[in-house]
Amino acid sequence: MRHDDPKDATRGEALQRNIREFNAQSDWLEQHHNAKWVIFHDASFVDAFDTFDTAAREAVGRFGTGPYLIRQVGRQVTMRIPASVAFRPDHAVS
Amino acid sequence: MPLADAGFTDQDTGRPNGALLLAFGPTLWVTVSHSVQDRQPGERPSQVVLALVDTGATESCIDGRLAEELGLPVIDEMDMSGVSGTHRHNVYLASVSIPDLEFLQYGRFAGSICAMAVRSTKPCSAGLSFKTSY
Repeated sequence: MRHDDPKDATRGEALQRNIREFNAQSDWLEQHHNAKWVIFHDASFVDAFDTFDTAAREAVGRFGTGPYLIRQVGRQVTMRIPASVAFRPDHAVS
Repeated sequence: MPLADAGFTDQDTGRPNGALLLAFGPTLWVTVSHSVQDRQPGERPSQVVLALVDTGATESCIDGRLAEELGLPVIDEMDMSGVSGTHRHNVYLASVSIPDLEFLQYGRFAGSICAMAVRSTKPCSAGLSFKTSY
């Protein structure tokens, strides 16, 4: 996470605490909330939701801009970006 | 069912321009902001941008600079891999509105440094989470 100013650094540390807590509770989460979207705030589990949209609405409604973690239980993916998408030049049609 | 034109219309003929579609790919005008709620004066801004509709993508991504400008919350981290290797990136929370489709929902967007190179044409792409809504 980028830490361009102290506020960002604080928020970054808070996110890292939430991620560490998520990882610490991963076994329990996979047992009880597998495939659900969960919210962690202040390094504590808040709730689990069926969809990302409902989790996001709850997080924004309760905690505004955060910091908080919203992550799906049991699903960690690596996003692959083809070079044709990442480096398509602006001048393609000029 | 609402439909949206994801191509480019030739200004002279009013017909679809295949060359532009080939160059830019299928795109939609979307409004990106922090919240789906109606904004009050002085609240965080929104921005209307062209989004690439990537029907093969498993996730959505956004230009990291645009996300920072809009003050989007960082809600997670994610590994992204490409020709330059695998790197850890922020995941931002954004509400995305597609007026033509009467579509409004929250989405998670991986902040991409690479996408900065194409910012003026397609600063974000809509992947699986949006496709599954239709």
